[in-house]
Amino acid sequence: MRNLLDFVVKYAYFILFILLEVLCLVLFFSANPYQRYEFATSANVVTGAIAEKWAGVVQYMSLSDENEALKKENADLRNRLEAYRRSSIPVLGKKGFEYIPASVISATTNREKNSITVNAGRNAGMESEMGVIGRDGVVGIVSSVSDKYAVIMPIIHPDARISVKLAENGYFGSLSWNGRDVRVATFSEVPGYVDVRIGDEIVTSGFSAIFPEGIPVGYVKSFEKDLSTDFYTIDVELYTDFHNIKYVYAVRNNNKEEIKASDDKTQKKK
Amino acid sequence: MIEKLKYIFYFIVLLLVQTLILDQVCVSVYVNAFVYILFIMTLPIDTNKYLALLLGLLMGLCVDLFNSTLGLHASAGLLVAFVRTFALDIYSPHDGYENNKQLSVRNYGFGWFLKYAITIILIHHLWIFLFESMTFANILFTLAKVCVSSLTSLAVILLFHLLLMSRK
Repeated sequence: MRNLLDFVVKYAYFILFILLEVLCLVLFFSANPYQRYEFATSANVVTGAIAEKWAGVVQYMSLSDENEALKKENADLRNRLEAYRRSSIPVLGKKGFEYIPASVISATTNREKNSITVNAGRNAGMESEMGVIGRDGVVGIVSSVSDKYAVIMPIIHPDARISVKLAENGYFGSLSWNGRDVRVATFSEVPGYVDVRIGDEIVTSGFSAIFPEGIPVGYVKSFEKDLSTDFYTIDVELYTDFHNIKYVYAVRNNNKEEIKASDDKTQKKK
Repeated sequence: MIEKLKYIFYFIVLLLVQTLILDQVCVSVYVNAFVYILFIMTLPIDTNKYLALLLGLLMGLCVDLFNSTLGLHASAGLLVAFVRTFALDIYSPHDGYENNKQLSVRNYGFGWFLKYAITIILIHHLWIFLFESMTFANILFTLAKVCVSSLTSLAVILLFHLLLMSRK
């Protein structure tokens, strides 16, 4: 016992260091991107508010550019609305997708695990695991939400998986990121007999109920066929420029509950 | 008392510079600058070493809260505070440190500060990037990131050290 005490006293500094380090590692490894305590993310009241104030200051500098971009987007949306009116496609009823606008208050792109913080939270209708799109295409998935802020896990995060397909022929697979180039993600699981060409558009598949079908993601930059498995690995140039992202829309799927319920039923029957 | 206020000021300035400016400026995946460790590096020489551990942990934790990376910078800040004790021993000048002299370029010379800073920066960056990638598979990529980012951090740390801490 005495020896043990002596040991503890002698190496107290080292022991304290190891204990605290273990604590940090436990925090780090137990943090699931979807189940983090909200206070432990940039969505918490203090860091969220500071980042928001600062973003307000910085945004003044790019206000005119932003205005121009919004005008363009508005015009584009008007055109699409007009096209919808003319066509006889029945527009989805009350239950469909709803879009929640939000401004980006903080974003990292040079980390391996990147994140984006926006100024809309639970009060604005945000929930975790909602899809998020931007002006040019898919941005990511909401990972954690506080009352006023939300953290988004962008495509450029190693845990992000998004169900996408080739716009032309509908072959689908999943999109992930390899941690190197912010503009490029990897589209895998496309069988080798499919005709893939450089420049083909990649859009969301709509299978996961997180994104509506057909939201643009990027285009085929290059591809390679794995001869042993006969599947393609496709490099996708992303439309979204994560260096310059000012505002986003979270997608709320009002049918999600029903889809989930029917999925559960099918599972039970099996 | 004034001494303590000065360190609280350093803490806040370096934290905000790190999270609101450096973490938002994204040049490339290879270029990450970490200035917050300057606070831990330049704590007074007579700081209790247990207190230094806790301050390192606190600084890292605050950076984590802004970045949603709970645990990553906390563990790195703690490591820097731990390594600091030994680095100070190894690089101890001939006539030792003086308690009332700040650990700075002005007091101990540019060469001393460079040695000390590079040691701490390399260890910190290696820890952060290995952790983030969580694998030795991309070791060349990780080492390239460590080298490029260390140079960037060194430049930023020297800049802020001279800006904030060189005046009397």
